[in-house]
Amino acid sequence: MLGRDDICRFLASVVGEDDVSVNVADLYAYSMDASMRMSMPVAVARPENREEVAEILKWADENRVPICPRGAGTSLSGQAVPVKGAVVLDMCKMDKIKEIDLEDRVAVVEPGVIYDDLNRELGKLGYVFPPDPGSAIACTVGGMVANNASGIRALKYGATVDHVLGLEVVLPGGEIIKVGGRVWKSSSGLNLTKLFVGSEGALGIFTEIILKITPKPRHHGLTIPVFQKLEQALETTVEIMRRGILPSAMELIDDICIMIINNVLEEKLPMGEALLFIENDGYSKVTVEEESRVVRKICEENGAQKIIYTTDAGRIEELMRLRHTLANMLSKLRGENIPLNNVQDFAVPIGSIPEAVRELKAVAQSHGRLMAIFGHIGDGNIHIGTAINPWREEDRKAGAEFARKLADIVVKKYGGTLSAEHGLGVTKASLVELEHGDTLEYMRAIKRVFDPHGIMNPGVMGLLEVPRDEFVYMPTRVVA
Amino acid sequence: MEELEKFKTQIAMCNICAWCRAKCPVYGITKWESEGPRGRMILLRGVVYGLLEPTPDVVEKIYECTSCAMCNINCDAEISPLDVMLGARRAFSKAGVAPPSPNKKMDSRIVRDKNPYGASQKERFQWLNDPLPERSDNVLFVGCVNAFRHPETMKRAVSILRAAGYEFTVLKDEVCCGMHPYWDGQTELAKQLAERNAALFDKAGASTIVTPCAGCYSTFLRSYPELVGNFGFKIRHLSEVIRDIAKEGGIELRREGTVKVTYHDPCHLGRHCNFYDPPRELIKLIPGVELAEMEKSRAEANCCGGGGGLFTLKPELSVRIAEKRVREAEATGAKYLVTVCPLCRTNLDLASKRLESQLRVCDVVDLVASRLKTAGGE
Ligand SMILES: Cc1cc2nc3c(=O)[nH]c(=O)nc-3n(C[C@H](O)[C@H](O)[C@H](O)COP(=O)(O)OP(=O)(O)OC[C@H]3O[C@@H](n4cnc5c(N)ncnc54)[C@H](O)[C@@H]3O)c2cc1C
Ligand code: SF4
Ligand code: SF4
Repeated sequence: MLGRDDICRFLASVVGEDDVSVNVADLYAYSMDASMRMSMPVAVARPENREEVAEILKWADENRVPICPRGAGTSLSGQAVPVKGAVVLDMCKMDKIKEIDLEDRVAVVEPGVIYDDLNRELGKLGYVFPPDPGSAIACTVGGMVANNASGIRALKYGATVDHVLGLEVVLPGGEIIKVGGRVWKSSSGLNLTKLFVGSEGALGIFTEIILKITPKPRHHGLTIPVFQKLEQALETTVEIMRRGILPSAMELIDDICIMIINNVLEEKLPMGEALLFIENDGYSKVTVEEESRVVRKICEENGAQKIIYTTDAGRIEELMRLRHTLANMLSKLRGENIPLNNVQDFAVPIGSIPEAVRELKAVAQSHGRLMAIFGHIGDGNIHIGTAINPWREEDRKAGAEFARKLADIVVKKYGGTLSAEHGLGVTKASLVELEHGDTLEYMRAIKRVFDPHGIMNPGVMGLLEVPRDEFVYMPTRVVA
Repeated sequence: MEELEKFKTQIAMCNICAWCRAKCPVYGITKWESEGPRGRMILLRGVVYGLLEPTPDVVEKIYECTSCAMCNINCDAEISPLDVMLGARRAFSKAGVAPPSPNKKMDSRIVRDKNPYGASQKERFQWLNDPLPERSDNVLFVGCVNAFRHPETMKRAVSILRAAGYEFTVLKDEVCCGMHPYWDGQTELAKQLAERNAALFDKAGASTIVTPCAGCYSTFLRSYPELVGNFGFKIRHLSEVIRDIAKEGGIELRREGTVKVTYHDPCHLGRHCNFYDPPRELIKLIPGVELAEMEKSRAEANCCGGGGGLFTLKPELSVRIAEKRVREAEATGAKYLVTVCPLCRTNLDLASKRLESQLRVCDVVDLVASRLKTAGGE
């Protein structure tokens, strides 16, 4: 086994001394992502091009050195936690927008490009890469692809996977392959591009990404109905979808979230048990207004007590930003505790939303657990905010039990998923069998094809082993 | 680590989301996680929970920050990473593991010479030939950077004030305002300097302190009340005073063709003290001068890289940050990059020269003086 000095020497010979660190401060800073889970890497390196990535993966494979690719480290499920003393490859230096081609309607980017930066450039040309995750200001396109991120506008425009046309991937062993390309459609062969999307850094490292780009809609209407009962909001969601309307966003905010927002921001939202943020957009004003009118009617029919409606672009941006910031404001709810990540990101079939949420809430109540509910409810994505004290054994046990109960309901009873958009990472790996059962073996077989020695991001998705619970990578003491 | 313990809840409530990192000037250059506010919050999380020792490597990261406060305004979880970092600097200083040696040396010079430049106190007002009263309601606190590095600008400031018949004096025994030690976490030293200046203000019979320096301004306004308790003086920036004078016709400004200028908001005036308009209003009062805003201005203005002790610790990094700002200024098509902070000015000027930019960096005083009917200037 290689020692830290050998590892460091090799990495420096590839990327240069300035782009390698084994300094304890750097290692600690890279030991966590937004999941708050932790594991110390052995070193951090910052490659600048595909050749450097290939050289490192060839060496890593030969020497069985685990590798953790990292975008911005905003993963909420511990996808970028360098377990097993991995070398972190921070992709920040590969941050070029290589090409925006309006004829082919594609953007070709390096993986380290920040989502907002790409959209700023696309926006100048009237285009957008639309998934719009809450972490837009910081997360990288590479991280989004590896996680199949989505967000507020995925309801209408789809998740990252719906926009990735092609990838250049460096595989363990150093081989560089290209999958997909610039064509908008292809029925040729197994779709390896889609296989790599959502692979959580466990199959290879993307060094170039070809994205389909979308013209920016010119008109928007935002409807915010206020409901006295949470169920009314959920029924409204189902009804809007049933009637064939496809809003660009349909977001749920429950009373706990409304209180937090009203406490933190100057902007005061009307109180009720729930609000919906329903955005309709399009290229013609008439269509947007007509769809918004139907949306308002459905809200009224379902008992909305008050409805705010605006078509003012600035105002819509302000209000949607407010929804974006909600995830961060939830720290008010957890205080010094940490979020229970494995219940954060369920999705159920749209028609089951009201019933599933009712049931999840009943479990929370029976556990005496404070729980905020919000999320991209239009596509059945339910975000749950609840926390545990990581330092108390009984809290962790209770958290694990609670998570398993909710997961059981979501997956077994409603045919839902553990993760709509945050991925499994290391925090949901303990529940992977519950959702994927026997098919986990097929996933593992695929992992072995690309990564026979299991060096790529070990720990995520339970592809190598299923951990006992989500608390395996808790912060521990570090000796310099 | 009492000073850090105070922030334990804030540290624990940090979501590690990286929103603050997105606009950090230091991270923007180095792109090392540990050199942005989120990384620093992660390190301090380790320290405050006793999981990570404040080794020299860790301590240094906490000092690789310009104190620009961009992170404070970009956190939706209502956390103020900069305040946490100041707490950490204080805690580390008390524990004897900080500041890092270049900063410590600078603080020692301040103890010895009462200024950071190793110059003798006698030189502080060498440029001042005008007789000024012993006591006055208004005290012009020049500050070390202007006194020792931009005496010509200070001469011009005095000419403008005198041309307007503005009654004022200076503190002949003025000592460093204490900003550097304050942000180094050397609170005791900052306090001693603050007490000394406070006594001098009292002795001079001042009710208003006027300063041409953004750092001194924010130190008086934000730090002195904490350091010396009841610090009841009115604090004004010189640009504000000259704006009022110009507005009321106290000085006459002449047109000299037309020129486009842009204005750099010093972080310690803008984000720290919410002071944005007076320099802009003053610039707009000068005939023939057109003010073009940079893409990022006011609360969004990018940092010059010079603050927080970063120039002392990592001068190269500091100038690289300034180079970015110079490029933003160039994009406006302006001929002059005007500011109202001698530290920003020094750093931006260094950067502009290094880039061989056509942009000329000056203080608003120089610009006003160059258009003053009764005095010559830049
Ligand atoms: C406040 C907040 C809000 C969020 N909101 C959303 C949301 O609305 N929707 C959503 O989907 N997610 C959301 N997230 C989660 C997260 O931001 C996204 O999943 C994002 O896509 C992660 O991008 P990143 O660059 O930070 O990647 P990282 O966290 O660094 O990494 C994520 C995964 O990508 C892999 N990876 C990174 N780069 C590469 C590469 N070049 N090649 C191969 N693998 C790579 C990593 O190994 C890891 O497995 C949110 C996070 C936060 C903190
Ligand atoms: S300080 Fe605020 S913005 Fe920065 S990482 Fe923490 S929660 Fe996010
Ligand atoms: S104060 Fe400025 S330089 Fe320091 S961490 Fe915050 S954003 Fe970065």
